Amino acid sequence: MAMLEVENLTIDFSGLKAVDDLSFSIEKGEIFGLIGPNGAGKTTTFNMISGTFKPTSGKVFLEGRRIDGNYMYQNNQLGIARTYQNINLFKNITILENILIGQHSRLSCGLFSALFHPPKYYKEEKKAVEKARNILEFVGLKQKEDSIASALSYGEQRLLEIARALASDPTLLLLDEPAAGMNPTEKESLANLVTRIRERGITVLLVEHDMKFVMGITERICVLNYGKRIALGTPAEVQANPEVIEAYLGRGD
Amino acid sequence: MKFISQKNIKKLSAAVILGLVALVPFMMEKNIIFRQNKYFYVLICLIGIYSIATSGLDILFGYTGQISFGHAGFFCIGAYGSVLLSHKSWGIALLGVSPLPPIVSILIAGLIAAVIGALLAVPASKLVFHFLSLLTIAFNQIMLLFVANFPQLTNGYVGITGIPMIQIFGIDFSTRKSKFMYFYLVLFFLAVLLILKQNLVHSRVGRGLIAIRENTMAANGCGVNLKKYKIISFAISAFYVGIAGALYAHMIGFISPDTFVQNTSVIFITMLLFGGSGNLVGPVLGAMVITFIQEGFQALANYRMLIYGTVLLLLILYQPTGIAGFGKNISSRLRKLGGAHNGDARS
Ligand SMILES: Nc1ncnc2c1ncn2[C@@H]1O[C@H](COP(=O)(O)OP(=O)(O)O)[C@@H](O)[C@H]1O
Ligand SMILES: [Mg+2]
Repeated sequence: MAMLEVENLTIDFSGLKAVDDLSFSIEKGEIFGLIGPNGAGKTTTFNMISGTFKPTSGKVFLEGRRIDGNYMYQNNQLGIARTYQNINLFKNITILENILIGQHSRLSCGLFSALFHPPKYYKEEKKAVEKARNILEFVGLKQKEDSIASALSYGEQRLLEIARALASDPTLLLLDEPAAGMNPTEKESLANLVTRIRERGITVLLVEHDMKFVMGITERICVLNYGKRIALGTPAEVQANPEVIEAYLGRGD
Repeated sequence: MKFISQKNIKKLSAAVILGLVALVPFMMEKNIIFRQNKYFYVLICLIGIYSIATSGLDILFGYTGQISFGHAGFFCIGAYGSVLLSHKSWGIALLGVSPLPPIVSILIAGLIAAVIGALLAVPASKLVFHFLSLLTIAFNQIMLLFVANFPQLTNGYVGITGIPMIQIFGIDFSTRKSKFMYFYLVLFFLAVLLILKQNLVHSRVGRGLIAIRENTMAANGCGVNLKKYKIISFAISAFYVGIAGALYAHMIGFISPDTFVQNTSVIFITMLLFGGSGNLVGPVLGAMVITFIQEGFQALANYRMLIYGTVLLLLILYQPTGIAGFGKNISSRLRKLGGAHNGDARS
């Protein structure tokens, strides 16, 4: 069974079909790229998969379970975690606290435990902090755990978003332009990080503007233009596709 | 030196402060300070009660980022709720039910406020700042009208007197003559509610609230059910304010709709912003300072709202962290001067 299956996905923003009859499927353990010029509908597709938008028509399946129309928090509980193109961090709290919030779906503390702190509260908190530190180590932010999120550099903020997403133990990770604003060194270590994430058994859907970056790490790529799928295949196949070349060159990207 | 961890220092200083505060009425009673000034007892009880209310508002505003200009509505529910459940000639007594002891009715009134808070949160959870302000103002008005328009039960605008004093295990916690003991009751409620608040904000649930304050979209993406957590926040916040309202009613011994007007909601917000939101001591500091101003400048009563408005505006513009924030700023500056390396405080 496919990890994610998108069927005839369409969304209509009062006349503008930002995504139009889009279908593709992602296998378990794959790094799948979604590319296209600015305004092609990549983020909108992300939003429909993660639950920010409800599609006008079409279906989304996560491991065979229908999820379109769910709220984001429900999809997070089901195993989808995401990052945002325009970074959405919890700015005024520490890095560690950001990661603890990221674990929300996987922790069990309810209102009673929250108010009265029974022994099981301490057990769970201790584990959560340990796990948070492991994740920070994994993405390379270990030294920063006590600094405030907004004090991080741009590249570090992008890493923190990934770390926070990983904190919910996702089966499917959606990354929206994670390399945006990064310098070449940062991009290289990001590519390495994405590969290591996949090695943990997490399927990755990657939206990216930087062609070189996507070509290097994805197995398959879907190309969008004006909300429509214009190509789907391996990086080599897609790169050789005249329609894709036209779409990118035609818009001066 | 594991015992002197930062956490323990905090706990220790909280206990010391609480002990000192608890000594104040005792010293007054023994004529060491303020010489048994009866009015001063009322004042410190009021500070305690407003501290509870403001701390409750802080859970909603400071931690969850949801504004309310209608919390006097919950204060009203707590006050009338407890009075109507415990009065010998109003409320349930009129229905032939025997009145409850006030210490029980106070808790039930808090719970009623919590339930109504949860109900208000259902429409409120869909609204942001401006519309939420309007909704909560409307809620405040509705509570007032409700109380005023059922004179058979509540005596309408005339108000209710003869509110029962509190007795627990045969000890009088409030008498007509002195509020000396009542302060300890208020202090007890305040201490318990502050501990619960502190527990809450250091838990998964509290972090869910903070996530909503920080970034609603990201909170949702992290698995926080926005509606559910806003309902929780409103309910807990309303519980605190309801308890405060009930304690107020049993201390003053008289309530009428006038006490719970819109201005009272604005005073709660002023206290919170003045003291500093999103922390433990801020609401208490704010309640203290504003209560003193309020009672100390009775002559300026007509200009009070004007003064609060100006203070609020200045605070929002220049000191959004309130006076608690002043303390923090100063201590972090001192630490920097002392050369202590503070992680990486790049900004
Ligand atoms: N909430 C929205 N309402 C109306 N139009 C939108 C909305 N979000 C995106 N769009 C439009 O949909 C199109 C696709 O946008 P987007 O998915 O952000 O593109 P990409 O991520 O590929 O750059 C754009 O024309 C954009 O203006
Ligand atoms: Mg985009």
